[in-house]
Amino acid sequence: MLGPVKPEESLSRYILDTAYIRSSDKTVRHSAFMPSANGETSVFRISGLADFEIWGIGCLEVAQKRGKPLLGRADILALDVIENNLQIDPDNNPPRHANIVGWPEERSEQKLIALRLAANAQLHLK
Amino acid sequence: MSIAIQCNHCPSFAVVPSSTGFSADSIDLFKSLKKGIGHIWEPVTLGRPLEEALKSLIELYIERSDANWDGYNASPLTEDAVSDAWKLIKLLPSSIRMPEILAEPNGEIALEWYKGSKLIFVVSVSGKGTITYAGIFGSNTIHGSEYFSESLSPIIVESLRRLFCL
Repeated sequence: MLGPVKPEESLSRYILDTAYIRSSDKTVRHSAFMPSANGETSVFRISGLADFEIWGIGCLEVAQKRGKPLLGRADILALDVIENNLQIDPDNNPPRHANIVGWPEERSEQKLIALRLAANAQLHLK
Repeated sequence: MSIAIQCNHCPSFAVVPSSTGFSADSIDLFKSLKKGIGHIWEPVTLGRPLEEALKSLIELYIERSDANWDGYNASPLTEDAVSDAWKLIKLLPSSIRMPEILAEPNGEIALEWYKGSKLIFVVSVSGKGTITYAGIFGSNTIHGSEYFSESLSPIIVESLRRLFCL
């Protein structure tokens, strides 16, 4: 079992809808990182995994369970999350899963943080 | 044929003022303005970007009007949000290029102007009479909310001018 999230760890946000991919330059949009109604952004901890294992998680634990096609993933460093005064809650359910929590109440502030996360994210298309 | 050119700080060509005076001159002026605005909707002038934006907006609504459209329990887009988005688009200064129109997971519709990861401005509407905006301009950032009625908030116009160096 993984311990607390370290700043240098990589996190993947799996993308299941084209709305979150900017087709003009194949980058991820801020909306991919905006919190859900429960105030969390679901991610997976991928440091130390081979590429096929990272895609395997996206396919089995995210796309199939949610009934959507896996389009890609946006990787960010945990440090980018922490620097925006957010926290990472590693619930490990399913294994390697975590939630980005601690989002501010104000929607515009959420949007700005999501813009910053997207600016630092690396999009990998399936 | 003459071509209408709009100044950078002027309101959009596409909106007819909702209130006019009662004098004969005011009514004549209103009629002329309405006729002129109708003309610029024709495809050869300013109408085409608006037509394309409307088409994008309708497509977006059709594709994402069910809950959970993103697989992460996203809220559906609402007709009110579409209506506000269209109202906002029509208010944009014609000197500003049309934005990308996006769905956000809380059911808001966002207009995005993107020139790179560090030069981006996003405005969203929920259909509840407010707009929420955020932007990155190099090392500077901005965010906030505004009441949204019949005119575009000066801060939105200023942010767009900043992004496009107008």
